[in-house]
Amino acid sequence: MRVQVDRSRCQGHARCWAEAPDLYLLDDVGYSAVDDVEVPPGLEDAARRGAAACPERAIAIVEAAVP
Amino acid sequence: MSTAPVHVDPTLVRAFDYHTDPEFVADPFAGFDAARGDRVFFSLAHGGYWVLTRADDIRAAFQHPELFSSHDFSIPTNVFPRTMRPLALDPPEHGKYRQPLAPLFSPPSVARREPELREICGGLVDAFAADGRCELLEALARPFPTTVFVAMLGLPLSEARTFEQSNHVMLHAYDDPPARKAAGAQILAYLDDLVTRREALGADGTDGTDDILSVLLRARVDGRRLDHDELLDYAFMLFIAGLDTVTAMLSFTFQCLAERPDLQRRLVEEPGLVPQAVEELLRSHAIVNTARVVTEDVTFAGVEMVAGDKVLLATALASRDEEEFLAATDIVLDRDANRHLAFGAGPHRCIGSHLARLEVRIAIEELLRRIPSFRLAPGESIVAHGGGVLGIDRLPIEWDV
Repeated sequence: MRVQVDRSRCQGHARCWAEAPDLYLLDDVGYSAVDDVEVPPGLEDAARRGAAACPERAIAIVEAAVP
Repeated sequence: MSTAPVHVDPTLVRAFDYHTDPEFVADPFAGFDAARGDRVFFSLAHGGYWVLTRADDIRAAFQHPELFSSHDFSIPTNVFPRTMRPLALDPPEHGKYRQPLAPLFSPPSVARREPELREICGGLVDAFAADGRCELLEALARPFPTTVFVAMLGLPLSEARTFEQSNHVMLHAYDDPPARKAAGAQILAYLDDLVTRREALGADGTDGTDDILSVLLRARVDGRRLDHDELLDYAFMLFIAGLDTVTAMLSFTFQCLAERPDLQRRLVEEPGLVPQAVEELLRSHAIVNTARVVTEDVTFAGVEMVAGDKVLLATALASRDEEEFLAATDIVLDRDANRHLAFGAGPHRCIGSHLARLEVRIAIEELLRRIPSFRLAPGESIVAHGGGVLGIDRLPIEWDV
């Protein structure tokens, strides 16, 4: 599973970071520092919650293809 | 405006006034809910304006400043004594003037202030906790954000009282325009003097200090330092945008909790739930009603808008939209996916949002720690006001001691 953050839409609400601070890293003024990252095992739920909490709808979840 | 402009379909005109209609003001969130029947409608009040009612449309308007300009962001047009930078600017100019403020209000900067904020709030609650009753605006909801602002300016906390009284008169003494003007002038004179004294220290005299003016004195816009007028504009803008709004958020939060002993009990039993509860209280009581000006003729939300039209962006309409949130009018303290628009969206997202949510969280925690159960004082009335920032003027509560 991956998360893709459209940083051109990020406005620094930091709600993704509030849900999953180890995944949705912020830059030094509080905007997303993440573009496209693999979600470490165990953080899948937090990743989904973070994406769903984005007021700008800037975060997409890409589920791993079923082999 | 007595009749709609020719480009407005007369069937879209509704009697709607969120400023002074007594029925609306008494329960503004129910008033907005009742207005949500149509995707968009037109009010003839205050010069006429469109009202978007769906979260998707309101978000899109916030996100497209090239179509919806902030150069006039109030209904009716507000006349401020200073330039409201960066609120009244559109990109790219907006970003230049927002960027110097950003380090002051980032999540880590705000988190570093938590111990100080907790001490301020705890001290205020300590002063009335043994009384068994208080008027919450006077006791907490006004002095708390005012004292935080004074602390962030690097001033002695004893200065808070002066600011608090002038601010209240300036924003709410509608029946006394000369007093409002005088209070505004008093605040400006105070801030002007403060900026002058800080400028005398120079940017080099601010090393290591993180109060608002020191950070701004070190900042650069277009490669140059900010001048006196710009520094004063920032100070005044933060004063306008950051005090009354938090007062209003705290007022609606504690009104809601006072009316709902079940919610109080749950927060006392599950203190870890408070951060999520803050988001839900912000969602269900979004107080800001800002506006934009249409920049070119456009079809938006299914209607023809023309350049110059005013559009109301009511954050409560966006945040209580049933198409966006399940059980949108209920208060669900542990709500998931709470992408409310209480702080707006797009480039003008409330820069103080992280500070504001911290202030609400600390106020709930510090009050419930000392007063685990409280209620509205019987026989007293709550007085509320409408307009650009919804609010409460008087909230008497009581508890057993």
